[in-house]
Amino acid sequence: MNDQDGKMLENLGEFTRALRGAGLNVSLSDTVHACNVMELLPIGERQALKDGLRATMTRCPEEYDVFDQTFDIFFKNHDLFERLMAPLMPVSKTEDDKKPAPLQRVQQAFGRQNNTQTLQEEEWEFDRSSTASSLERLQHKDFEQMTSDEYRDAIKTIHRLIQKLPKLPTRRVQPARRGIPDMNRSLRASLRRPMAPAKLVTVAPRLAPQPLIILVDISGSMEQYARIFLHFMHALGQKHRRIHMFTFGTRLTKITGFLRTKDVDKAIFDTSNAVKDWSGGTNIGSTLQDFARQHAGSLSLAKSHLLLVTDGLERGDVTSLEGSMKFLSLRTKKMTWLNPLLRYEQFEPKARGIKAILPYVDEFKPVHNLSSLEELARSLYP
Amino acid sequence: MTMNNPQTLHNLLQSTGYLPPSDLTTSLFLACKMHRPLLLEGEAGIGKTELAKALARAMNIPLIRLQCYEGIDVHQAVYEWDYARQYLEIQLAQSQNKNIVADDLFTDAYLLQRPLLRSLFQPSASVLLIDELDRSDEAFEAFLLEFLAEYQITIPELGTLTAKEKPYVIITSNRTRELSDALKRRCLYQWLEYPDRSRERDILHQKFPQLSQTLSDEITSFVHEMRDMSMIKNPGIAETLDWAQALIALDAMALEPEIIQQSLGVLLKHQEDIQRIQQGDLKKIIQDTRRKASQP
Repeated sequence: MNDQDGKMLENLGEFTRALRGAGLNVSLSDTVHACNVMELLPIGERQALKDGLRATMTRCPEEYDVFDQTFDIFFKNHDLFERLMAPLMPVSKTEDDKKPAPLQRVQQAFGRQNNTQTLQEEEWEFDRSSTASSLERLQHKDFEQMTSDEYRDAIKTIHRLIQKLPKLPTRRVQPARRGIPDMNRSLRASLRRPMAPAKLVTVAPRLAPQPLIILVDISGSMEQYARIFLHFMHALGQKHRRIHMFTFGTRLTKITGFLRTKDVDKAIFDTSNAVKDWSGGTNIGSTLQDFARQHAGSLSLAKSHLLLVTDGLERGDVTSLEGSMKFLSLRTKKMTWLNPLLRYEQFEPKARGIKAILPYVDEFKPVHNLSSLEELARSLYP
Repeated sequence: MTMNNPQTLHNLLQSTGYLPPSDLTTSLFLACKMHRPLLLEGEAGIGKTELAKALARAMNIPLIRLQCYEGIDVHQAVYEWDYARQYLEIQLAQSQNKNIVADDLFTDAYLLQRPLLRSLFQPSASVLLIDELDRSDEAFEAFLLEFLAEYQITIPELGTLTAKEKPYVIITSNRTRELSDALKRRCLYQWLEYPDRSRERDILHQKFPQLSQTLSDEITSFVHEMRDMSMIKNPGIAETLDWAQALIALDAMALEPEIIQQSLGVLLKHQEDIQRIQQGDLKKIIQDTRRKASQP
C-alpha cells in the first residue's frame, strides 16, 4: 500500500464515522464496498464518487439528504467538518437526549423490587396485585382523568393486550388435514417411506396477519388519547410485520420505523421527536388527502384494515375530508373509526366533520379507557 | 463487452434507446463491476424494469425475469421436480417389473428449472431481473439472501449449485412494503426520481423521432404540470410515452382541449384525477404549459 492509498482509506474511515454521526447506519462491510467503489471509479470525478458512495452507503431515499449534506460538507472543507457537524446534522444531537428515559425506567424497576414476584406470575390478565375494585376503576377510567400512577398501570396493561393477531388466508399453502390434494408432496412422502402404503397429502392456505394501517390524530383535543394509543401501536408494531402507522395534525408523519424499536421508552421518545405538530391544530381533510396521494398507491391497501383515531372535529371545509374518506373506503378492506368522544352517552353526530366521516366507516368505536382498548384488541381478531 | 467507466455504459445504454440519469449509470456500472445486485426503487412507470431490458440489449446477453407476486415460493422461483413424469416413470417401472430407486428419479431430467436456477445454469453472463420483490413475502426475501450473496442455490437432492457465470442482478421494488435490511445490505441501492424536463424530452425524441419539436415540448410540459399538481397517481415516463403514442395515433399537431379530453385516460389512471382536470380550467393549464414549453 502506498501513501496515496493510506490517505484514501483514512479519509474513507473518517467519512464513515461522519455518516454514522449523522445518524446513518453504515456497516463495516459497507465501508469495504465503498473502498472498492473508490478504486473502480474514474479519479477526480466528484459527482460520480458521490453517486457511487451513496449507492453503497444508503438504504432508502430518506437517507439521501443526510448523505448529500454530509458528503458536501466533508469534501468541501475537511477541517471545518468536525466543528460544523454538531449543529448541522439533523439526527446526531438527539443521541444524548435519549439516555434519560431508560434510566428512569431502571429506577422504577429498582423501586418496585419487592413486587417482582407478582409481576412474574401475571402474564395475560391484568395486574393481580391490585384489588378487584381498583382494577375495575382503572378499566373504566377515562385516560384524560388518570393520575400518573394510574397512567403507568394502564400502559403496562396495554402492552399485554396484544397477544395474537387476526389472520387471513394467503396465497401460500401448507400441509393440512383437510384441503386440496398436493401430488408433489404426496410423491415425496411416499418416496420417504417406500414400504408404507401411499398416502395423499392435502394442503390448505397458510394464514398470515391482516395488514393494518393506523392513522392517529395528535391535535390538542386528542393529545392524551394519542399518547396512550402510541403504546398500543408500539405493542402492535412488535408483533405485526405488515403494519403502517402515521400521525396527523397539521401534517402527516410516518412513525412505523420508530415504533419498531423494541425499547418502548426509546420508541415513544423518538416518535415524539419526529412528530412536529403535537397538540397543535388539526386539518383532517388535507392530511388524509396527503395520505391518499402519497401512500395509497404504495401500501397494499386492498387487504388492509384501516384504523382512524380522531375526534372528527374538522375546523375547515369538509369537502376534501369527505372526498378522501370516500377514496379510502373504496380501497380498503375495512375501516374502523375510533373516537374518544363516544364516551359521552348523549353523543350525537352533529359536527360537520363527523357527518362527513361517518357514512364511510364500517365500525365506529370508543377509545377512551382500558376496557375500550381491550375491546378493540379483541375485535381485531375476525 | 468491456466497460471501463460509467460513460461507456451510459453510451451503451443510450444506443439501445434508454437514457439513464448519471447517478443511475454510476450505480449500475458499480453493480456490474462488483457483481452485486442493484436494488431499484421508485414510482411506478419510471423505468426500473426497462433498465434491466436495456442492459441485456446493450450487452447482448439474455434477460431472465422473475416476476414476484404474493405467495411466490421456491417452486415457482427456483426449481420444481416434475412429479407427473416421476409418477409415470414409477408406473412404467412397475408394469415392466423393473426396480427403481429414488436416485433415478431425482436427476436433471426431472428437474424443472425456474428463473433463478436458469440464471445459474447460463453458460455465459446474463441479466437476472427480480421484478417487484416487495410483492413477495418476507420468507421469500429471506430465501433470496443466499442466492444474492453467493450466487448459489442449495437443492436437498442435488447439493449446492454455484453459478458458472455470475448474472447481473437487478431487483425492483415499488415500496408497497419496506424490504429487510439484510437484503438491502447485499445490494447497491438506487432511488429513481421523475426525470427533469429536458431528459424527458430527449426520451420522447429517442422513442418517437416523428414527433414534432413543439408537440414534444408541450407533452413534457403538460406531464410536468400534472406532476406539480400532485395527482393521486402521477404519470410516470411510461405514461408519457403511451400518451405520445396516443397523440400520434390521433394525428394531433398541438395540444388542444378536445384531444386532451379524449386521451386523458392514457395519462391518468384514477377517476378522481381525471375529474380534477376536466372540472379545472383545461385551457388555462394548456396556456401555462405553452408558456413553460417555450422557455428553454
